[in-house]
Amino acid sequence: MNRYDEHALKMTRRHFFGRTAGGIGVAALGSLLNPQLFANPTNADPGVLGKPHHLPKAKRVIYLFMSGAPSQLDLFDHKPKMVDLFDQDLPDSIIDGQRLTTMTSRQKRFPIAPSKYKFAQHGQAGTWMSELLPHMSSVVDELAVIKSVHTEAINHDPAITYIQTGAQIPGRPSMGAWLSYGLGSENQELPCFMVLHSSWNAKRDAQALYERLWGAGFLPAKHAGVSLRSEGDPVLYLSNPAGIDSSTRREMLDGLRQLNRQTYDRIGDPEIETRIAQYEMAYRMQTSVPDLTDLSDEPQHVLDMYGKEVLQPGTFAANCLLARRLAERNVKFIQVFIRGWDQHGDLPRDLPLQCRDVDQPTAALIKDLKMKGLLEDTLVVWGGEFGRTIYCQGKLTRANYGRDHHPRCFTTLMAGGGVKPGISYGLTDDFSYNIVENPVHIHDLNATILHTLGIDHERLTYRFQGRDFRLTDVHGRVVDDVLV
Amino acid sequence: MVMRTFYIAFSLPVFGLAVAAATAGEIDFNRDIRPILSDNCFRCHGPDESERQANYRLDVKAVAFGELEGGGRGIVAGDRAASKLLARITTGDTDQQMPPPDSGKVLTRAQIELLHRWIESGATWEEHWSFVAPVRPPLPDIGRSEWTRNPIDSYVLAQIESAGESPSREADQRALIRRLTFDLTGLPPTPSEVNTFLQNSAPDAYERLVDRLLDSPRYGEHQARYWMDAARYGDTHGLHLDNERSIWPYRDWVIDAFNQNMSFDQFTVEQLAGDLLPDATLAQRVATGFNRCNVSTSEGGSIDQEYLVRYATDRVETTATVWMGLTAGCAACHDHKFDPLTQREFYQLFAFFFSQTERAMDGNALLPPPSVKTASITQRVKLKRLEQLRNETRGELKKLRDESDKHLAAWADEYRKSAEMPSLPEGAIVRATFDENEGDRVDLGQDRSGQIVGTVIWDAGKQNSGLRFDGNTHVDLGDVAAFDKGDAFSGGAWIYPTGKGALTLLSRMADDKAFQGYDIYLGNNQVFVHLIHHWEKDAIRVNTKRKLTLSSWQHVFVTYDGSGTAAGVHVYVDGQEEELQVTHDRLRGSISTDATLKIGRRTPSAPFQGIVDEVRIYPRVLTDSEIEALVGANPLVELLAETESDWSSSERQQLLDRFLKRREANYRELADGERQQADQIRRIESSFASTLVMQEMSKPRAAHLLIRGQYDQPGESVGPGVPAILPAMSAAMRSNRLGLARWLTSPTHPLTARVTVNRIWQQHFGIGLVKTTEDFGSQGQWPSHPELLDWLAVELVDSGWDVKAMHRQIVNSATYRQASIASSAAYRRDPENRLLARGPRFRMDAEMIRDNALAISGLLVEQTGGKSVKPYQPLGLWKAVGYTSSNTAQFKASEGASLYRRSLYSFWKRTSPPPGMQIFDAPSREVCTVRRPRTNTPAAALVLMNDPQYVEAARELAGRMITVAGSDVERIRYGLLLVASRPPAADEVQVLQQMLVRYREKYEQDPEAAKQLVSVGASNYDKAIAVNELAAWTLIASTLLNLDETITK
Repeated sequence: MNRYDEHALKMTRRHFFGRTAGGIGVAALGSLLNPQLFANPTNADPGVLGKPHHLPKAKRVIYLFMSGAPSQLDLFDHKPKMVDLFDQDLPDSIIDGQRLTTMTSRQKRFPIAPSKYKFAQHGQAGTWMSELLPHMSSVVDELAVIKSVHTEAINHDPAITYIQTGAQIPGRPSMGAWLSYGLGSENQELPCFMVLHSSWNAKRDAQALYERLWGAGFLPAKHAGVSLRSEGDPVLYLSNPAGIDSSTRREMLDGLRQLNRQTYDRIGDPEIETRIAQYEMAYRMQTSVPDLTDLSDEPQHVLDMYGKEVLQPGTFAANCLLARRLAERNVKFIQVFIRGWDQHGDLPRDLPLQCRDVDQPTAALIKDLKMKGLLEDTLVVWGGEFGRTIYCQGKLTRANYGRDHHPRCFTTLMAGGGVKPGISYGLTDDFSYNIVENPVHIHDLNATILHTLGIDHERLTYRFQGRDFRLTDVHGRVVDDVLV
Repeated sequence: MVMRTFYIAFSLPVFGLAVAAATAGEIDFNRDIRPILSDNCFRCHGPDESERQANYRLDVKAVAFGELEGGGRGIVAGDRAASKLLARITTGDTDQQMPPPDSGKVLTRAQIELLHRWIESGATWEEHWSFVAPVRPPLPDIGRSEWTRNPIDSYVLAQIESAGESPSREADQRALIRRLTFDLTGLPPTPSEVNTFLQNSAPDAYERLVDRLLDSPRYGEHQARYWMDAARYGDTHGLHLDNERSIWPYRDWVIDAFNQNMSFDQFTVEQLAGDLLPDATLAQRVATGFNRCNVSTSEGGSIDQEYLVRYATDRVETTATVWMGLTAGCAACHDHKFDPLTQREFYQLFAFFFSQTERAMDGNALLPPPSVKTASITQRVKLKRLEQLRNETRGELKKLRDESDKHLAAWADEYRKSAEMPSLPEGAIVRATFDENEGDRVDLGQDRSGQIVGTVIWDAGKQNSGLRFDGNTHVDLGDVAAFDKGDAFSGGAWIYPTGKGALTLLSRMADDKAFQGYDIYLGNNQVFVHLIHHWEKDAIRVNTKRKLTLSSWQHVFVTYDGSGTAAGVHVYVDGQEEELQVTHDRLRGSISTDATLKIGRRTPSAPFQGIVDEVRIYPRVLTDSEIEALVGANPLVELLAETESDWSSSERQQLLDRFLKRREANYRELADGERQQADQIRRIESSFASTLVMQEMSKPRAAHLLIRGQYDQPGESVGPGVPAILPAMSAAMRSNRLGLARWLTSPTHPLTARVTVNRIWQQHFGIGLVKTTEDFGSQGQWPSHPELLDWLAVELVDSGWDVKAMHRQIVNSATYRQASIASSAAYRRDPENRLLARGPRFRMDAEMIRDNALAISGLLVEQTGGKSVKPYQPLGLWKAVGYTSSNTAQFKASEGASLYRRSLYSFWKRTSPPPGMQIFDAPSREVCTVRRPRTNTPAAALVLMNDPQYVEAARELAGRMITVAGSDVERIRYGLLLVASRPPAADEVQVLQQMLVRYREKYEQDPEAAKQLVSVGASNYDKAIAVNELAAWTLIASTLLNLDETITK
């Protein structure tokens, strides 16, 4: 905001608030009739960067996070040669001294478990997809399928913390918090970083999530992701208590504003003015959030596209639709979590259930964004914290198997927002164990996501403990090959 | 220091401050030059050897001024032209340019100009200020000396005057008591406290108020609340399953330490190394919970070594931040980029914390060992009273026994002649009656005693008291009962087993020598006897076919005839011989061992769980009738079988006790009383909570420099040590945590006192004299008042690290007592109040905001200490993140008083902390935090308006306003007195009255809405007040709770 704008805004505010005790009604009327007063573009918070480092391709990100680590071997990374190697030992030369989790490191054998699912090529690009993802198979021509993502962490807590914050140990800001800090918000009525949690139908035990995954770390708390919840208030403490309706709240706020104004006149601390403005924004959120979550304006064909669970709050389908509605409202970073992908055993029992939860809604989201013209400036990311092993954890049969954690390669999908559509990128060996071409470290992935938003990941920094921290630590390289 | 452009400086970022300051005055190397070099040059020309370019470094004078690799010198004092540094930063040649264009670093013109002037004026060099021990600086010359109240003010005023400003007037009395009460107790003053203060015209009324507040138990809670951030305290493990952990007794310890005004050096020593102090008390061990607060995991698949390294690293980082303001973590992977801390030195610090007995995996347990049991603050008070009573009773009993001692011989004779005296086995080499009922030694007869190791829990025995074994307890009897395979022997005890696993009753057996030795133990409730030379190839094992009963007294006795065969072993339960199963019967070698005789454990496996009483061991085979007699006997008989001269003094006391109980009703009554008191004490003790503590391994684990910080890439091995830039440890300091703690608090340490006073200053003024509380290194900010910081640091040490005295110094200053009312222009010129030309004014921390609302409304339950509580929070927050089987996946709010405790006691789940706290910037407590941001957001507004905690508080506040005063105006007045400690201004009354009119109208028309509003919260509303009236006033009260002034101190 330049000095002139700031001045103009202040004048407007001053005018708006009025200064006489008798002005309550007038001010109230003013704010009710003119809700756009604060939402005008000059009042948008530009973030610390002011403007992006380069011209962004994406204005926002929808990150569909598959917590627990989906099996790339059964979904994307087709390894037909494995069928003949059923129950044979994975060669030591492939494991190559790599550290394994202590869940399987003491196994006497590492028998190869080929995927029992059929793969086929889809779309003009001929992208390989598993039969478990029929709907997503129909949108492959929008997708960049990156099969060579890798990480160092071998267990869930450190790995998911790593991919979300750039460090395996707690304490760093999450990706969304970095974006909030860097880019600010274009929408003064909604937080610029929102998080949605989904229910799941597979086995009940699922890996934990942690608020640090959308936390602000050492950045100010206002950059933390705000959960859009399916239970209780959609945003914490949003609803007035029983017995206070919206007009009463308006009256209360008008009175409160006058009283705070009087304090400001007496004491002079500008922080009081800021507080007055924050109460106004809170009030506007009280109407804008219910608008957001009210799906009654969605046409039936759109609802149908997401599947029948779309009207069940908290399902992945419902959350995908909400993600699109958030994107329409220019929320910068929208993250949808779904848990339950941790198939150490009984993979054939649980993986299809997980896929059923996400397959249709994911495809619908991409189609829907495209129909609305939003896909071109919305980056969609789909992926987990690591991959799964070709070797079986526990007992191996043709019909049943399990897979342990595998950090050395996994698959992440990207679409829209400046990403090359209809490509597969990166190559793994026959065992989907090691990367043989175009490795993409999770820091690279994060650097690339920031890049699409116009951010140079090396230049979005925050000084803490004497050091200029960034999301990608001291690493990261933009993967130009997957960008348009 | 003259600063004409001071204000511009304050509106610029930190280095702007230095630039602006120096353009007008003389250059101070540490303030003006080092930050430029550090920020722009040190990355490649600083402490990190591996990154250093051209062998040139700017953090060490000799090299900075020395010859360059390519010839010439970087810095030549007084000679700009010869100083290549200047040439390189001003050249247009991008190949030559420093900092290199791709570094992203750019020097401003002002910075370049400063470097020129510095070199020209002689390039004075100083060590980094914070690594040089502070000395008490002289007081500056000031104009208005009448304004000052203590030396703090002189330093502050000097800067205010140099800036051409004046200090603000003193705040009014109301503002002062409000500010003081919040700052020292975290709570608001009550209207009557305000009145008392207003009416006190004594010249020292203010100072007396300060003393009263420092004496309040609320002071310790408030201080502890800050410390919990630093200690990264949480009620859950913090990683993965994030299950509950029990460490709140440590929090109690901190509260208590602050309230007792424990000196800061002692406070330091006990938390870092209380367990290593000679004769460490239980409290000192509890204090070491500080370093068990780090997050821990038990995620399946994790690698132990990786986490052991992380835990120790966290402890180094935390210790360095809290005591030294050093960002030590930056040296875990490579030498520090900015500060003189090498990677090797990091691992020397690491070595202090790497040899702990904790396990890498916490097992998702409430109490991952090591832990101790300890009393809460309330329990401690109760116990003290009970123990006093019991000691009095004991004294009287003892007196009665002493008076009767002269009759003992006669009474004994009389008894021996009576018919009650059966014949008992003679010649026990161990006779432990466990009748001590206190202490940690067990009398064995024959003037020997055994040592209780681990938890000591005396309990009701088969006869009098017995000893409870909780799995951590055993009794070491030393080198007794050294039998070999050819020796005949017998032994046994009364037992009350409570555990099902492998429980050892008696043993002399070394696990690590193939179990050589013998034992009696229970497995699956059967009695096993082992005689082992080398398990299992050279051993005898038999076991009873029958099982013992759990949680019931049984007499277990074993005899062995020295034959070296299983047939020579017999087992008796309650005097009856048991049928045995022989599984091993091949003993050739010796069963003699160095392992000592132990009750309740082998060496070291298979701990007993349950109660043991009346242990006897004989160097011969007892007959069936002797064993029968043992089962039926009382110890009186056993003792009386001996002659008087064989009795030890404790045995004399036992006999007298028995006789007196038979003979004297008065003694019996007293003894009953003593027993009841002891039972009560035991009951309290058994409800003690356990808390995690630190414990050193007996053999230290080797620490190594870890290449790139990787746990699986050890480099050279390193021992404990301290960074070379800081004073060395003295010879008297041991190379362990205790030595480290003593070193940190040695008077010559340049950092500890400075960092500590800076944090205290930050509490009161919202910002430290060094703004970067966590970083006093070369990337940290230059202090706003360097001399004042040093003066305070020296003052803290000289006072004997007296923390309350330091608070007193600060709040008694005229600086602190200034009004915070200023022009908005003044606020904008110096938004952070670095010049200190006005009093502190800032939004309170999360906990204070909630505690304030509870206090104002009268809901607050002031109870010091105890287990964490769960006030309201929205449904589903834990479930949304929790591992499904985590024991913190389901949130259930507390009930009753627990909903209204101070926020310090709120249960802290670290992967989903209390939302009302987070929204007001409370950290997650996953890592050490010494400075919180302070944001102003719509989410915060929503909390204060809609969180049931605040709605309920508003209703209670409304009730108070209505009940206390009659007219609307009086009620409004009382409300303002409660929330702002002042009466309202006329225009405020007017606004509130107008609001009231509207609300009354609304709720008169809509009584159902009124009913709903006043029903929010778990407590009941006051039925004596008309519901619509209460609802209208609830909204008024809610407005008051939402005032900027209410949440601002």
